[in-house]
Amino acid sequence: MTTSTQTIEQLAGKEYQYGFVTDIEQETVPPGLSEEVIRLISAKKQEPEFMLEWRLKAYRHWLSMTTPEWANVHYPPIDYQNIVYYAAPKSKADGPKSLDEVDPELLRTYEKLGIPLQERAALAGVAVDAVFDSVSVATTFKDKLGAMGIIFCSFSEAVREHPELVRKYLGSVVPTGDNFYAALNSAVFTDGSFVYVPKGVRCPMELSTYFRINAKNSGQFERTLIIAEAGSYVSYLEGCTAPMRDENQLHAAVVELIAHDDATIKYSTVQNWYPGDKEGKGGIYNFVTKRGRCEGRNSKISWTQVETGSAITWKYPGCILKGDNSVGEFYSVALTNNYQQADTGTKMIHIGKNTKSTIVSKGISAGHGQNTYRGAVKILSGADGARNYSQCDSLLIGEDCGAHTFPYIDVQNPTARMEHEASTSKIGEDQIFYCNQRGIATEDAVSMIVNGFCKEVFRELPMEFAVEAQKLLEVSLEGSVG
Amino acid sequence: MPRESATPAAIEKSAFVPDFEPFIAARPGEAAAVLASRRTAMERFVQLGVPHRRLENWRHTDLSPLTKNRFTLAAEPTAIDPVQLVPYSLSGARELVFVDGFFSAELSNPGKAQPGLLLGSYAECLPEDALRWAVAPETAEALEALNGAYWQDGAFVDLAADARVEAPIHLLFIATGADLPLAQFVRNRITAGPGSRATIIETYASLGAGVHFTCPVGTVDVGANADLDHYRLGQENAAAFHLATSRVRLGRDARFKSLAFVAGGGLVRHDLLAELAGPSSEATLHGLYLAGGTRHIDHHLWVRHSAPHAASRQIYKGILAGRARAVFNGNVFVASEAAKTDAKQTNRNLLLSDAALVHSNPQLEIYAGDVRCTHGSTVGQLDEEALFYLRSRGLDEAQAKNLLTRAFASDLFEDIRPAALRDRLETLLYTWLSFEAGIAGTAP
Repeated sequence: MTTSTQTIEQLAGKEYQYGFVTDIEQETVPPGLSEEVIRLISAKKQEPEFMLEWRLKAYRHWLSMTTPEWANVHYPPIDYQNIVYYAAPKSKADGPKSLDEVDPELLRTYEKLGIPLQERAALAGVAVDAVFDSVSVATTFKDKLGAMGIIFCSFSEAVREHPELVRKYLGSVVPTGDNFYAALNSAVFTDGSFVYVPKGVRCPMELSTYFRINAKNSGQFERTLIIAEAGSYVSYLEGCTAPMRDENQLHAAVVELIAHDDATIKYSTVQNWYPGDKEGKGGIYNFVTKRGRCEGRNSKISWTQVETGSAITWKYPGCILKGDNSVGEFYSVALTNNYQQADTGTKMIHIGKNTKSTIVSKGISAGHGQNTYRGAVKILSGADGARNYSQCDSLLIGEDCGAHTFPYIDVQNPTARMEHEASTSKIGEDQIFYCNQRGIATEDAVSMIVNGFCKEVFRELPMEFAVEAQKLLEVSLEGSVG
Repeated sequence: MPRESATPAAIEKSAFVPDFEPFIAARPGEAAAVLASRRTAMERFVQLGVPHRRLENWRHTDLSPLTKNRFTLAAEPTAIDPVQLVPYSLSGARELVFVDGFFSAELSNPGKAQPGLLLGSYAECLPEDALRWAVAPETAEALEALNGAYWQDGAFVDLAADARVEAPIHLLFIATGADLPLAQFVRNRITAGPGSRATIIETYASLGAGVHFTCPVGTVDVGANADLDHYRLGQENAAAFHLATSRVRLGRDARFKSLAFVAGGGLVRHDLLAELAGPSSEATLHGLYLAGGTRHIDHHLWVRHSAPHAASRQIYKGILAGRARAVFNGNVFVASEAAKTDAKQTNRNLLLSDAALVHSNPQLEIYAGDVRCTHGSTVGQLDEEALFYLRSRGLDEAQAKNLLTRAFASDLFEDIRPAALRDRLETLLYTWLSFEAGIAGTAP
């Protein structure tokens, strides 16, 4: 046990690889939130009147709300008046038109992150809508997508260029008053991604964005909206790393997905924000609202997430299965090490007939990490033949961590079939012993077992993400294995 | 058990608070210390109020129908004909009978005295115990506090070290269920000394069809190496409110096995808090709830592992018909010092009708590193293919359904002792299926 404890400590001692701060001149508004700040954000982004009204409505609602306290996470109260709600990298003239015009400092940041924009775009065939803090700075492959009628742009651009689509769908899945953080996001969001896939079009490449929190003290409020028209298909990738910093940062994003008849949306996330140091100091607060609506018949929404970062993760990507025969999926790996806390899971609301949902959640706790699965499966009375299968497994590594499971199951239809299974266990000493016997070092053995434990989820990730996710898990677990 | 504060509005609506002073005034003979403990409990209840749906633990159970009634306590024991007890009493058992909250020595049959067994009325055996109740007033839940203020009587069972009681102990609580809505606040205390062994059965039944409110609070202390079987039968009428709290504590190597069988009551809620406080203790908590009509049955289980090497098993099964609602909330909490915990939790629900509704909420809360915990929850209907198979063998639809439903529940019946009790429960299930769920089959 001594040797393995040592290995754990070595591994746990691994510092966050991606911690650095880019020095770019930032254009910011003073910290604090008021109607003036919202008007200022809206004006700076040259938004139409309806957006401002929408933001103000959300803000007024937010004022009447209180911080939710039901999640199994603990953190000091957040001072919302001490957050900078708008930070944009200072642009030369009216912003870069091509990659050459992008601030070289910024490009170097991406290089350090291991995502050389041009190369990655060219080699992997991925269009990257890189979001640096709040304003989208570079978009690639736009023309290629444009020729197929696919709109993939930053949210602010969508507000300017496609106000009718934004107006129709914004807030239709996550209304402004949905919850405390969604209301806050609706009031102050600065940018995000917008995807529209027209009828019958299969998006030829994985769309991806990289979110990155940079300016000190600037909470990032992203807004993503993806609309898949009848018969279309789109796969969207979201990946995150953030620089090292001592102060906690708030990230409250909202993602809305709408799938019409026979459409499929696949949304994959790899989240690796700064988790705080070994003593639990610092790190990102990740309070996210993600929800998809299977509007049409035979539509499908699939969420896949690998959550290894953030001091606190608080998100429940859900599916409203409204259309008959629609399918919702949720595959998740959540890892908490050191003093990280995660309260994550999903919501599957079965409304239409023969709707199906699958939930596979894998939680890994190490160090002093606290990992909670919280999920809801609701089968309403009209959902004849609905089917749900949930599996939530937790793996405990070390003596001081915790794993919790809180599924909420409401079934109102006798023809529905609902199954929920959960297990919590530690890595067996016999498993490790067997590997040791075969000449596999303890650390490699644990890595192998953990990867096997998560295989079902990694299988769902697009290839390039799956590789990254596996690597990420190894790095995040280093020092906690025994 | 997590707790939130109540809104003042919830208290105002109930008559429990204004009725308290007259209740105290009517008990001049009671010791000052007991009266003081009643007051402390009432203060706690005023602080918490009647639980309401804004509280996480009461999300699915609405007590507003309870507060709409004005319940009173029976002034004196109601005389009943012993013949009326025949369907409920258990032959060969040591039996204590309570009617509308009062202990009835005439109807009871505690059996021959046995060294090491103390069996009798709670109020008579240990009135000062009210002052050192299992839960300090400041941590009591609302209903425990209400019971602490108003408790009338209940059973006191005390087993000395190594006492072995062969005959089952039957505690029968009868509500007359007449026109006037009566409340009965029952307080039971069961203590099994080290190495003792007993079987205890609690039955709650009503004679009439009138509205009544039963609020039992019980504690069970299972000492080191003790072995206790505990059965709880709910057979009250469809208008009855039954809100119960039980706290169980297990010592080193103790074994506790319970079965909650609910086939009656209109609004039933049972909070069972079991703490595995001794190393290598073992708790088996079984439950079977049958609900039809508009009945509402809620089980909240809190299993707390606070010692290493302990094992807990929960199997709760529900069969629902009509517009019935069932709530299952099972929480397994493993404290950081409870290494090598082995916990298993299962909730299975069978829906026999379109309008029945199930809320299942199995939870694991684990703060220890070396444990094995699993839980599972299912909701579904009878297997089409199994039904078809039976029908192809000549059973009609109701018979086939009846048979399969009984099979669904059968594993809970396997180790019920005494056999007389098992037969009674099987008959109750069969009767319920035939008359309340409308699927008559061949008698067991």
